[in-house]
Amino acid sequence: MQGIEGGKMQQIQKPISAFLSDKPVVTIAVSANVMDAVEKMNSEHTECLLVVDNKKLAGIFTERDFLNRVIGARLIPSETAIADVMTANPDTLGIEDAVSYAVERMASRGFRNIPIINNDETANVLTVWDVMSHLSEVLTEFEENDASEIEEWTDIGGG
Amino acid sequence: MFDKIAETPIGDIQGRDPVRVKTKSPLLSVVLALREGGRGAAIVEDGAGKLLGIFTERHLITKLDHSSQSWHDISVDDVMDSNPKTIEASHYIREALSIMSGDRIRQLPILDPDDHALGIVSIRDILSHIAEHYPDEFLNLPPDPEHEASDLHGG
Repeated sequence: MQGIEGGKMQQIQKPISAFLSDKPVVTIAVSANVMDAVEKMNSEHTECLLVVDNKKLAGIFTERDFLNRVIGARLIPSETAIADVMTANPDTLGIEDAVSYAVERMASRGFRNIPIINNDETANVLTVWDVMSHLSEVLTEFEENDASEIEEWTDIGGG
Repeated sequence: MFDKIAETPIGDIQGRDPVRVKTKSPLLSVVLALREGGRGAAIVEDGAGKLLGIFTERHLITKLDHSSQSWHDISVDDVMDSNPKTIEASHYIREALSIMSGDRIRQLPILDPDDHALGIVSIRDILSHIAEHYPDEFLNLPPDPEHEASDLHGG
């Protein structure tokens, strides 16, 4: 029984690479304006864009940035440079870092999208959905086991 | 540990005050209220405080034409999700997570039996709850990689 709970803990300590989706990363050039960004977010069905300067990560632009820094700040999207409203030099993690680092950043700093670096190149974005769908599966598996087993795990797990 | 997380009632999560707007509010005023409140979704209520729908930062991107400002005065009712997924305060975190993950919903209104919104539980609220109450178990971190990677993003 301890092995089962231990196994779940191991899942939480897995590297970020195990959680990344296959979806290709969506980028936009640092020279673009916000209207270009909005159109790209819509056509690519993505919640955020990585802003790149010559293939190098320059920033990240999210739906929240659009709300707070563009519309909420009364700027006009077609007249606003993405470079002026993106989060420049965003916090990144490495592809082999434990996913718990991402959870900590998402919980304490409110990030929903974290650029992931692999060998000095931007590999992908780890989204809150990548992490949450996994967590949801772990918790749902738990529900499917019978109550007596759950009690036993609780005792052993020690809380 | 996982059973305790899974079976925490949504009502036990320390929520933040939601942004509430009245039906027929002009959209720009709703966006400004969201910015001021630091939230990504607004509860839209009728005069009696019943939930009519929610308007989110996602709608701002996906449902409006930003080539002009003509949407500023549109009624929020015309753009909001008028049939949002909701949850009751007595329901468990695992149910909220299941709904949120399945449909990629970041915010769930918490309803009482009379359809009044008690608040909104967000995906961040749930993550923060887990991180705060189970730090040793859930965030049992090896040394932070941030300093190792600091040269990548300029420190």
